[in-house]
Amino acid sequence: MTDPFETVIGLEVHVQLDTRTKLFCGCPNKFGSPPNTHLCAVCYGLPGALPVPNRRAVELAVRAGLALDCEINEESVFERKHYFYPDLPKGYQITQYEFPLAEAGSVHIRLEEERDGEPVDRNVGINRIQIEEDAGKLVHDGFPGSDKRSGVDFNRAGVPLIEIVSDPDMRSAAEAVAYARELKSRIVYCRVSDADMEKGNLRMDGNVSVRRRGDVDYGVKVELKNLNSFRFLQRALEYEEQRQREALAGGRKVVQETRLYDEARGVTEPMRSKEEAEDYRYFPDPDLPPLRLPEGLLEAARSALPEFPRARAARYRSEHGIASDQAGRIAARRDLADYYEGTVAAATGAGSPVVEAAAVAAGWITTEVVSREKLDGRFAAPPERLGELVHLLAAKELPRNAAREVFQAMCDTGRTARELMAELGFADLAGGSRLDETAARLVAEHPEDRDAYRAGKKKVIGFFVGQLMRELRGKADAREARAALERALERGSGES
Amino acid sequence: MTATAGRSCGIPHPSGGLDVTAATAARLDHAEAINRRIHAFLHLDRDGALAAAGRLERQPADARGSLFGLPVAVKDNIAVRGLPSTSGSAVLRNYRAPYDATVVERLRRAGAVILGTTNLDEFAMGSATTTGFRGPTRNPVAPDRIVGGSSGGPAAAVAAGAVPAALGTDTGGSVRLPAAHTGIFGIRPTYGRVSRFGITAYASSFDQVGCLASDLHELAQVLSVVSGADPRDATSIDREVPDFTAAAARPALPRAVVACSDEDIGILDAPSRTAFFRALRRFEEAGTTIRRFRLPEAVTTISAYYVLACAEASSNLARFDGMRYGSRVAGDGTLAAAFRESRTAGFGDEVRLRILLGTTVLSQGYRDAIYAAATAARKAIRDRLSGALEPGELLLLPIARTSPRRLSDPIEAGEDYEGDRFTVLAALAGFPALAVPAGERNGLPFGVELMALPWQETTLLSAAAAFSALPGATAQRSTSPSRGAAGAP
Repeated sequence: MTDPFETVIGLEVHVQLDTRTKLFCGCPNKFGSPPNTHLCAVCYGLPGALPVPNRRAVELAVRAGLALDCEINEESVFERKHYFYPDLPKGYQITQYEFPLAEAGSVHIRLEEERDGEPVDRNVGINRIQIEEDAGKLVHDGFPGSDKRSGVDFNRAGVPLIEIVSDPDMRSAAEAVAYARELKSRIVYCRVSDADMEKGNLRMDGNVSVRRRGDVDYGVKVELKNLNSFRFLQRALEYEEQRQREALAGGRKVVQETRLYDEARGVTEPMRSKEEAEDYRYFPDPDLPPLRLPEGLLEAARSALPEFPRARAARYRSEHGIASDQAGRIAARRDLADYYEGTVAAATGAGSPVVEAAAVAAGWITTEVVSREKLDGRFAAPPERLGELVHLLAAKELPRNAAREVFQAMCDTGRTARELMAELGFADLAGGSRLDETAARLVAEHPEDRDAYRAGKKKVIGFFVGQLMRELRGKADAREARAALERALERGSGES
Repeated sequence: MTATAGRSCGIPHPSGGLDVTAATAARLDHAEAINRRIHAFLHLDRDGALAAAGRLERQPADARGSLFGLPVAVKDNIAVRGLPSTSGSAVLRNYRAPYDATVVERLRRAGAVILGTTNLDEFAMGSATTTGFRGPTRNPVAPDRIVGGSSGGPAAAVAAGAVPAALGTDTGGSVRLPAAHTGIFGIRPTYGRVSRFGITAYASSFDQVGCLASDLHELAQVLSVVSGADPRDATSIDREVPDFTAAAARPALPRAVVACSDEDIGILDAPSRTAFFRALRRFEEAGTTIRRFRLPEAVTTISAYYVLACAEASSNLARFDGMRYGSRVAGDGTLAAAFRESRTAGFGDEVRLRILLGTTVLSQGYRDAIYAAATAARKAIRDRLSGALEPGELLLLPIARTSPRRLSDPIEAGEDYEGDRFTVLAALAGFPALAVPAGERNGLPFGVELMALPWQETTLLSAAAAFSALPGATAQRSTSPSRGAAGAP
């Protein structure tokens, strides 16, 4: 039986921009400082203070717009949105309304699970992106007298935000989460924000309605607030979807209202209904002339835009020939992908063919580099250094078994792979003359064993490998040692 | 510039230098004396002024600014660091500005000595300087009468000789009207010419800092100092500041005077009408080309101004919520009550009226009908005024419909709004306008307004200089001790 209802979801996502200073004043945009230490006349709303837009914030907002395939408006307008709340210093928030910075974008999402027998693979429209200022934050504990009253920390007041408003294009909680994840990944990737949800750098509100399948009009919309992790987003949307479906199935009406998600109880509860909804009295901010993009800003933002993970992974597969899952893992993180590309470039610069360099580099980065990073949070060796190591490996100048030791030493000392190879006694071992010379000498020194081998007692090679490894104090790669010995043993065969 | 210093402030010192401290002290004494009579100042900063004077005296002569030693007064809605800045409102009864407005910074840098802050209508909303919570300012020319407003304090301080020049703010006529009522000069510069940073906003798209002075020379000097783009005010405009002082010293009649029509003059009382025609005739007799021009309709003009100004005011005054500074009334303990009670108790009647009016016109259903219509009307008015003037030409307008009323006269609600019919034109258009003394009627000062196209303040100043020098001009009232020469205030 097909589902008689259809859920319709749109998201409003607030993202703090990673600027040095606030949106309209020079105070630091910094999280985690003692309360009310980043304040001035402007962001505290003193009489006479005036806002001046932060160019960097505009640039980042434009970049976000481009990253979400939006059309960027050369001219947009700051407006005032009025309401009274203790964390709002001026009694209004400076935001955009009628003429936002960016419009008409889209984000592609793909879901592994199928829905109604169809795979989910669609574009979610971005209705608009607007620039606005953040409010302060109420503080309920941790200061003298907090048992009797609440305080306000204005450090966050005036921090630049973008609000990304989607079209009502999602049809399930899972789709909404996929959209939100993709949004976050792009925002982080183009360095608009670190989008750290624990710090509140990315905050989500959802609009949910349910209608009968086939209806053209949307159902009554409920706004959900306080969805501050992907898990809560999913749970709140699922709860709300179910609540509305049950109401409709039971012949009841859904009330248009704002509901708050209670994380502890896993339910949504009414916050305020539309009847008491506020009238925000928007009008253009007379302190701020229309925002015209400065000459060159759009081009600068465009050129600062990175290649996004999907395209990047595809390129790694087709041009570098690396495996799909490896390509995906590397491309998903911009710093890792940049590191990978730097490594491959260094290796090919040293003479390695791209495909070989890429294969070795991808292997090393997804294992050794990432696990070392987990220890101290950074890439231990610069990509040029790793590139040299990759080249030595690809050119078989360095035995595989020695590479890890060299890499460790490289990370610890910061010296080059070639220097360390010599120092640690690995030079000339891999496919080098030293390996062959030693093998030949050993074969000559043990004529009986040689003859036994030649007579077909192939197991004797184990003895030779043991000898050779001892001679080279274990530095040689066992497989390569074996190959060198085979060459030496075969060489004289048929003679004498 | 040393000429100014000598004339306006410095007392020759036995050492051969200038005794700015003594001159400042004398000014302060005089200001205190007149204040008891007319209540021009809300706060006299004796200590700050004397300290500033002392610092100036120690300045090397070649480091002296163009306003060296010039005593000035500043309207109380302009932030002066450390001084009370109440905007005439009980809600800011205990508020002191923690920073200097840009214009104040510039005055200080040029060597001016700020004697104190002066009275105004609450949040500059009014045309009489009667609505401030500390009571009205009296007209120094006729102390039983209003001084005009809202920059009544600065005008009275200048007209009474306490200071040669003062800063006011002009939203819809607040500099020009009290200038006219006290027989001094008052200029509203082009919108964007002077920084608004540090000015407690009434209606941001109209507010401009203006200068008031008994003499064109000081007016131009002060204007020169405060003009120019400010990186802290996004609406200030980066445009070269001409030499206003030179323009004021170079009398030149305008290419043409465009005077408003007889129909427009119809709302003046008879003596004011006569005085206006006398001013017009003076230009005519000097050989100036005269054209007449029908002003945009009064009802549209006044409505557009009040709709937009009140809309902006309702927004600008939202920050006075009793939460971070200013007076708070707790009410029943709920958040909503704290907001409501603080604002109800903190604001006076006129301010509450304008906030409610502004809130209404921005509300759903009215925004598109009323606010949008007023915006369109404003643009039409600006276009019409632009079309009426060529560069070098000036519009000649009355300022007040009548002589300043007696403080004891009752006024009807809305009467003062209609009186703004002429002055709000420059405010709506953003054009510069200058109030020029033009004799008397009923024994009280009469002033006319000259308005020019944007950025043409020099034309205004040269024309005012020329007009004041014309035969029959009594630009300076004999009773006004305007040139408060040092030592004789």
